[in-house]
Amino acid sequence: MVHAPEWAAACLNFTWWVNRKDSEGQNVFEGGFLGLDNIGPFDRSMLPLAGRLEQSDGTAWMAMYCQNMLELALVLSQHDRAYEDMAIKFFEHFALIASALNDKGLWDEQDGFYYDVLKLADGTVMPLRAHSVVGLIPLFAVTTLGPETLGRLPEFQARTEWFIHNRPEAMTVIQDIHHESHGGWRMLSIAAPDRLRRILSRMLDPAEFLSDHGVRALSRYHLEHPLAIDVGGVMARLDYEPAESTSGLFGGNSNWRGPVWFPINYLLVEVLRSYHRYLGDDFKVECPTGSGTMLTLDQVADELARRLVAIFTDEGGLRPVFGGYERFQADPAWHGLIPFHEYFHGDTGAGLGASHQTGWTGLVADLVIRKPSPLRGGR
Amino acid sequence: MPAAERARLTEVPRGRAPWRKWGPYLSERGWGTVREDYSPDGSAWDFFPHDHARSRVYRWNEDGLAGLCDDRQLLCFSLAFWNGADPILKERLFGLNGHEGNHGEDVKEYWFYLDSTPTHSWMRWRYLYPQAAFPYDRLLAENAGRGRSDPEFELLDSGVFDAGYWEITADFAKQAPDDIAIRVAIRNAGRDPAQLDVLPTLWFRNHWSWGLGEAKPEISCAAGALEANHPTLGRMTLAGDGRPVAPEPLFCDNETNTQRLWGVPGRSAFPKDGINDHVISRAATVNPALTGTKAALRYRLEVAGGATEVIKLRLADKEGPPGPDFDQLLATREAEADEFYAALFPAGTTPDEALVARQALAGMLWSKQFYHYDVQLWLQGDPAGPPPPRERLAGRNSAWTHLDNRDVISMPDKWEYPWYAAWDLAFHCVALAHVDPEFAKSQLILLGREWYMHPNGQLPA
Repeated sequence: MVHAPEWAAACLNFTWWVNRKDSEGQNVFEGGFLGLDNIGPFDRSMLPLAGRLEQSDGTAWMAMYCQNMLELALVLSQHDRAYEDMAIKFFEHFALIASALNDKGLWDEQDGFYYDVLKLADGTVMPLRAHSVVGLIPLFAVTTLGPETLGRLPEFQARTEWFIHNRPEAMTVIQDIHHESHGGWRMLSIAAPDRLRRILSRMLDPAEFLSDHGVRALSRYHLEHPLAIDVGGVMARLDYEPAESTSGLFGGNSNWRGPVWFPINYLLVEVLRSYHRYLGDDFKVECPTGSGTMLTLDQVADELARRLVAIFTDEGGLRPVFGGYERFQADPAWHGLIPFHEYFHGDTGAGLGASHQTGWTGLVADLVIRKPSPLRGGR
Repeated sequence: MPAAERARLTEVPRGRAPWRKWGPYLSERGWGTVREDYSPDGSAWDFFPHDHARSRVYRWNEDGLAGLCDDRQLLCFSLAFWNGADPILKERLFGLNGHEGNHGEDVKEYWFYLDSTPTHSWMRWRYLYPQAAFPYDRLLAENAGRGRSDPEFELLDSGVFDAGYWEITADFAKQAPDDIAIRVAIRNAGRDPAQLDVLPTLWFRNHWSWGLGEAKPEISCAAGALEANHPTLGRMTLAGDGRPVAPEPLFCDNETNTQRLWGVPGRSAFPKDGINDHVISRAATVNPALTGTKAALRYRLEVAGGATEVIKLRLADKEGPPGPDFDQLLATREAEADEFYAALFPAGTTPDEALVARQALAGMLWSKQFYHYDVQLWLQGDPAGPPPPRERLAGRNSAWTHLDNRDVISMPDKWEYPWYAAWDLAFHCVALAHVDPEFAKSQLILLGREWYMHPNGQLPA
């Protein structure tokens, strides 16, 4: 096979996750990738009760990992056909994990959202009705297959056709609408278009996830409606906390209960563009929810990227990242000096946590570089 | 100069000119980290606090301000300052540890990465240093008195900048891979004349004290310059041009002041804090023989309110002070950086968006750090040292004995998270790929190598 050291390493790491984090071998995963530390009412890695927590995000990350491997294999297959077999493997593995997530009760039809589900030793099943990014992360598992790719790989195409026709349960995660606008494209996603629409209506709602500066890690809905859960006689609470954490969970050094985090928002921008590649300009959603403005998903991605960049850029003499610091806002010697924080206030966009995290917050450079040109049109 | 920085980038993978050899690979916090922690219970903050950092040698890394080193971190350069009011030199960024801050660890300083090209042929760094005494004790006390529901008490909240401050800008430009021009511009952002000591400092990471058979290098004084000789790195000289004042060379050793910390005599009469103690309290703690493993050029400046003084330095494998083409070199490299970034941002990018994105990328490039960690050796202890507590053999990282890292790696944050994290690193590479795809690719491959990834397939973080 063509030499690709990172491919071998990724296979080993993928297998480590599969063997490590699916305790019952049912394609449903505990444990997460991004910690999301204090996102739940209790520490998700140390349950207060006997039982286990099936996590929407843990399973979704694995479905996404399958897709990443599938995408890599498809690229490598242009150089070495041996990778076609690997592409088939990861295609099928995606379908198994993604349909498991949809079958195992993590989707809540009443609320139109994905939740973590607590399965207690006595058989009780309890969804944790938190409007958090845990329920948005299933959106990350999306990829598209174009007619050119499928045409180039006849074996892959034949095998996936077989799979689709013989595994009807997988149809919920493989969008294969022979509709003209899709032009022979397929979309692999945990969330089918109707579910995507329901999740986005919350995500793009200013009263829930959408702030002026990106998507909050926890919905503002919980400001008025804190989540309280009785765990063995103790009430565990989850409140909307847009600034620093008020609890000592995980050392209290980071906070996922309301602030805006770049890695999550960056992936949302990326996947909205993926959905748009398949769903096209006909699929529009109201953005922001309640505004009456209908946008394509590409336009929603542009709008989200714009809000993220606007954390740092000057608007009327103010940069939101500086928050209430008069010296930074008003002194010309300071106003052009930009800190890159770890996360940002869910209401104001002020920088919080580590102040030089040009690690992932440095992704703002990518958003500027790939900003849609006004000449491209589309609006 | 058509696409000069692009040309340098393409030279690197072909091994023609090691343009990336020198870079901002120094950490901003070596204290309070897992690697430097040899306690039985893994209490890294308590084992090596900020108060020890000026006096106690690091085992695995080094830290400093505007820090520069080679990609093996043999020789380090950084800037130190003294406003005449502080009880210690400002050699490294101050912050509260995980127990001291009301929302965990938090750095309490204002410094900025304003620019860098991917090969570090051009870099700009800025630091804002109060003229009044840095409120070390007040930062500790105010945060200790605050709870989880309160915001953090920051340096700006203390009002210390209202009494005037120093705006210090360090520019770096490479004439050649081993020939670096350094310009330090010091602006008195206050109304009254004020005094500042500026100490460009050169030192060797201590790799000779651990019984591993490595020879001790030496820095000596040659015609007012600092001449650093290392058996594998060769000779590097740090020279000024005698302006605006002639600097005084000061020498000590990168060895622990065991007398101060533990009340017992140590390996050197002029330990790591020797220059600090000499400048602050005129102690006889610098070596009159002008030799050692840590040395500084002490510039004592008096600057009028609103005025700027400039120090010019050359760190090179050649002798000689900054020459007449010094300013031209800096101007050329800055123009090349302008050209590099102009080509990166699409038409329609506003000047303010470009400013934000360029500083974001500067921050990413400045956040590269030499990361050295041999877990087996760390658990067993060094041949020359006392054996570490037995508890460590079953403690943190004891299942990672295959891990042996000695590379330049992109960090999430060189003060708050001066270690790599697989998830973060993958995101970093998305942004870094815009300016240096070779580096981004090599980072991802590195994490999958057998001296990083666990034999079972788990990635280190």
